[in-house]
Amino acid sequence: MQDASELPSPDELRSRESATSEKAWRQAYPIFWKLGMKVASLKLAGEARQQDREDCVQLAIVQLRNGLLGVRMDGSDSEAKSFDSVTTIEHLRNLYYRVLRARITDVHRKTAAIPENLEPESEETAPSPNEPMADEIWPLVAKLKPPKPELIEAKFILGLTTDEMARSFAMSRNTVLSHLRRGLITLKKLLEEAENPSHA
Amino acid sequence: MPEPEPMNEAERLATLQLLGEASEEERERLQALLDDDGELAGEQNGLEALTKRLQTAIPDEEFALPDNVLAALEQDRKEVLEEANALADPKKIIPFSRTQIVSFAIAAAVVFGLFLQFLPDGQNSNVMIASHAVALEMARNYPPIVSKGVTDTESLEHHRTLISHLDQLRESGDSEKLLEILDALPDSAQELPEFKRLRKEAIESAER
Repeated sequence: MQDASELPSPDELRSRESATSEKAWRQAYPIFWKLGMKVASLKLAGEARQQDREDCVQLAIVQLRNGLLGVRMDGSDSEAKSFDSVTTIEHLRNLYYRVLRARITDVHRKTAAIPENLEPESEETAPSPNEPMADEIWPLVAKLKPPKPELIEAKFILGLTTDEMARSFAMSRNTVLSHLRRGLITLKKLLEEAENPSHA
Repeated sequence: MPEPEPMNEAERLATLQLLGEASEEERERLQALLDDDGELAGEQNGLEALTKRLQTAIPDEEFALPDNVLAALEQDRKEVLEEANALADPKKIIPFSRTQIVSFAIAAAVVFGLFLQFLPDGQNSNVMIASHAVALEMARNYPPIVSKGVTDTESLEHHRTLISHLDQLRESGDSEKLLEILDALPDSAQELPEFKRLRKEAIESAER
């Protein structure tokens, strides 16, 4: 399985030349799929949501691709400019991640779930006992104040470095480091409270 | 988006270490600081355990892209690319360029000309039917002969037009119609040399 760093360049993905486009996207699809399913499996946990996860990831890939090719843009001008401004692979990964998060939020809205409360609540959406499920730590990440969840996910799921995050999130490297540190400290407290309610 | 609290140097180095981005020199400086600061060391230990948990809490599935999804994405990509290329080059939206349209028009004119050229005379029906009808009417209304042939301008024009129509019919080889028209002429007009010649040619043609 290819790694995210093996993604083709944004220029290759934007290519209007048939052979280049086909080669670039055939290389990119499995990488985006793997990344997307990782994120989706944390935010849309449970066997019952397998279809939702796949739909979200496929839609995010399609929207990213169409945005890069400059067609079928249903979003705002600022969204179109976001696609135009992508020049690096890490920026591309980050944009894909943002699109995917938006699609996952759509699913939560559709199912009337509160986006901040991502733990499966109903019997229908709860993972079966035999299913490998995400650690309860990730739903807690989602409870942190922005942009900490995005930065933590960018680091631990997408594998971005702090320099790449600084460029992608348009903030200084020290600000990224500070958000990450404060986020991790808060997350540690939330985790302790969740695991030892009597000590909260 | 609120700015986070600023970090001191020890926290900055400790965070870089947690994220696996500290250089050798930074790791040494951090170790010295941790040796002197038990509270920071304790916090660092807790956060290291947390980051390990974050890394291992990610589902370790392969998440292979299903073939049917790949096929659908690839088919859709081709259509999107075509759309993108059409949007980028508006000329391609028009099926034919101006030059092509002119070329087609010339080619069509040439083909039509060739068609007319090689069309069997007897089947140039529209022209012949019109010519026959006009000529028959003109023969029936042929002006009276005053002396030798026709003399006034109007009658002369009538005579010439009728002769022209009859020539067309003669060239088409339709002797029957030609004779029908000549028969429709008044007796006096039938004696004119032009009509006598045409009658003779039509009869000869019919006999052939």
